[in-house]
Amino acid sequence: MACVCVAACAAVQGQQPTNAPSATMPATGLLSTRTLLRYDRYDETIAGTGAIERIRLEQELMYGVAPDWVAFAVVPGEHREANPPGAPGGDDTGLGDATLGVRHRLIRRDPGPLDTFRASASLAVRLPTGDDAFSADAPAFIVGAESTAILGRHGFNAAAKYELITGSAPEPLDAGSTLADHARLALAYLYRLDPAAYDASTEASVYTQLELIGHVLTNGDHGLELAPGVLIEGRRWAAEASVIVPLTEETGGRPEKQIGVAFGLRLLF
Amino acid sequence: MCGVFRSAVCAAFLVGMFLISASGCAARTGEHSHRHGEAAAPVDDASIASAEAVTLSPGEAAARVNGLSCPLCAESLIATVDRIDGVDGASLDLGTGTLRLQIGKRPPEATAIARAVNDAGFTFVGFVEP
Repeated sequence: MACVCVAACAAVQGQQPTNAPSATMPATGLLSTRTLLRYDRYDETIAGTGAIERIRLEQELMYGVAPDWVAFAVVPGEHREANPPGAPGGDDTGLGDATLGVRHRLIRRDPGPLDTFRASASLAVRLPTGDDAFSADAPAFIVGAESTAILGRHGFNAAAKYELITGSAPEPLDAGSTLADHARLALAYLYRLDPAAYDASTEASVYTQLELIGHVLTNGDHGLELAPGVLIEGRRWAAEASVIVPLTEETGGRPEKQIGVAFGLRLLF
Repeated sequence: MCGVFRSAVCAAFLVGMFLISASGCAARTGEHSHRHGEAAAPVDDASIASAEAVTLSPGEAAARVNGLSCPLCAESLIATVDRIDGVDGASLDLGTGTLRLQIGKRPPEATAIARAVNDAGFTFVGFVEP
């Protein structure tokens, strides 16, 4: 019932890093979309000699339903290939589980024309709507908190979320797709490369970003990833690119990630 | 024990989702009423209260806004202000945080501008000389 209401009321935001959520959100009545194309390469631990390559296309919608409230939906599509072909976890294409949620801005302090500090909280549910090969076949309940500080050319983001998992994907690759609950902590720093100072003619800005993402699962798995990247923001669009490099990984029976790349495009309507 | 805990967390989550969704929809309904003049939200912000003393007239107007952050955020504000009846156009100087408005023949209430800025997620500081 709650999910139906969220959908009936119906994400892309300013200065949001590629992998870490931010506390910025579209204004009431505005819709933002984000298309994120991810490529990830994993060790194929069962065969021992190969790799699993995954291309994942995530479509995110975020709509401002009321002042300080947004609703969002994320629907992923996925293609996997195993090398050598036929290994478990590879050679499949389909939809992943969709996520529906709401985010509420709890704090907003704007000390200057550009400077701001914001904090928000999120509630979401990931529904078992995906194809059999990629679906957990049970919902996951997600609670999160996000904060964003922008001071001149510097932007800082910190976000945490906890996923209460009730089902597992058949061939899990990521933290959160196994049966163990998943806690994720993400920190991000953005630096505005250009322009050095805004004026009335500013149409776009370019940022470099550095993210640190930590995973802890209740089965003892954990991991830490570093993600440098670039973000370009126009007035009604943003483009982003990020490379995800695992620093440490303890994945139990899951394949270990070797590297990830993400490209994104956001549009504001 | 673990199962009971999980069930309790799931139940609390669903209740929370419902309450948040309901309050979000209710807030939206309130805004809708206000736009049609059926009900006015109480003045709860000093900057909005300061706008009550301002009467807009056709032509140019300008206001100071804080928390603009980036070009994408700025466009979000322009799109919001553009929807107000009586506003014919808006632009934003990100460097100074100055919102420039083209006011039409039937000017809106100054507080409507202030409220729209705050509701869009920014901080209305006050009207300034255009």
